[in-house]
Amino acid sequence: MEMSMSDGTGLSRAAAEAWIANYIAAVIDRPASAISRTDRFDVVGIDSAEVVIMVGVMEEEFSIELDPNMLFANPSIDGFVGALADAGIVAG
Amino acid sequence: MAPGLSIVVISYEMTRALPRTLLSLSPAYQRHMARGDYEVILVDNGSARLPDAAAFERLGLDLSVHLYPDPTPSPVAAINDGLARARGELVGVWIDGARLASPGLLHACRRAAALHPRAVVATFNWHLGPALHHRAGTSYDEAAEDALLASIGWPAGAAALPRIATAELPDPRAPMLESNAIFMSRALWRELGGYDEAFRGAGGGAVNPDLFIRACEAPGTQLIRVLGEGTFHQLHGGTTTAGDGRAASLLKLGSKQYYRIRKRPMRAVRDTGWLFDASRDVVMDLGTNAA
Repeated sequence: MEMSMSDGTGLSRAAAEAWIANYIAAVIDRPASAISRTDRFDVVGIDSAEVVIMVGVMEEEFSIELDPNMLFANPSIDGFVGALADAGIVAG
Repeated sequence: MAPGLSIVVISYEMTRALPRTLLSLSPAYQRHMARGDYEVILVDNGSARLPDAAAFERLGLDLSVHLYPDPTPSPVAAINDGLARARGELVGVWIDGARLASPGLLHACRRAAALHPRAVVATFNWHLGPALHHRAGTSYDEAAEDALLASIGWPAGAAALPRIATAELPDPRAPMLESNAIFMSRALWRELGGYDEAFRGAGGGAVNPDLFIRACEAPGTQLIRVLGEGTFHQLHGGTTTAGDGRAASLLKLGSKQYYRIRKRPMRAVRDTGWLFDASRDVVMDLGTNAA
């Protein structure tokens, strides 16, 4: 799975959202288009262990470091990507 | 004559927890199990304070104690050493010897394994106390745990263990990442190559999920989740249950390790498989849980 990079400042927000949606879609075997960006991860159908696993995969794929607590504090795709933007990890 | 069932238990610095675990595996504690039915193979992975084999003689177990000669932070090689010693046609592995068993677990797993020639029999993990141990905080300590067990009159009151414990997986149909007490035929263990020694580091990292995932993905295997029995984690400062917030960090590290080794994301097993209700001797096939 590829994620486009922004101009040297990190990942683009849209690409990060799409990557996470695609990841979750693959886990729960649903189309990415059906994955809510605003619902909590557990409502979407992915539990806390699985989102922590996802963070590990993101770190490996994109050579970044992420604190799993960012997910627990922002437990939706929009919320998590927003926190990544606030932290300067993705371009806003 | 070889027993029908072998159980491999791994210990590391468990002088407090291990005696209870072994007691919980004894024929006096386990329902419908006689001494000749099974053997317990204890492999210690380098403890400074060695298990006191003589103290276990009174348990009436067919127990052998082995000190793994080349211990590493990962228990994997020690487990595989234990697996190589197993003589039973059915073999169960306790990757964490600090987990005591419910009193019907062995009989239930034996019955479950008989339901399918390539059964992967998984039991559920519990933690003694009001919360999972990595979330329990400082008010829950070994004295509190001792008091809880005394409150149900354990071991005689072992049937009440779920009342004083917290399930790692409250919904038995939920995606399952691992099982502390997993049973398969010796042939299937051999086919899988045991635990993969590529998984190094404290606790073996993601080796237990890896084993579970590989077993469930192996051709023709049938996952059977055992309801009504389980293993109950005792405090011991182990790898994945020690410290606030550390569990998530360790799971993340396990995910990264798995990704590097397997070249794909680690995925919990979402196939519900068969649910074997040990108390009623009933199998339920509820299909894949998509939730």
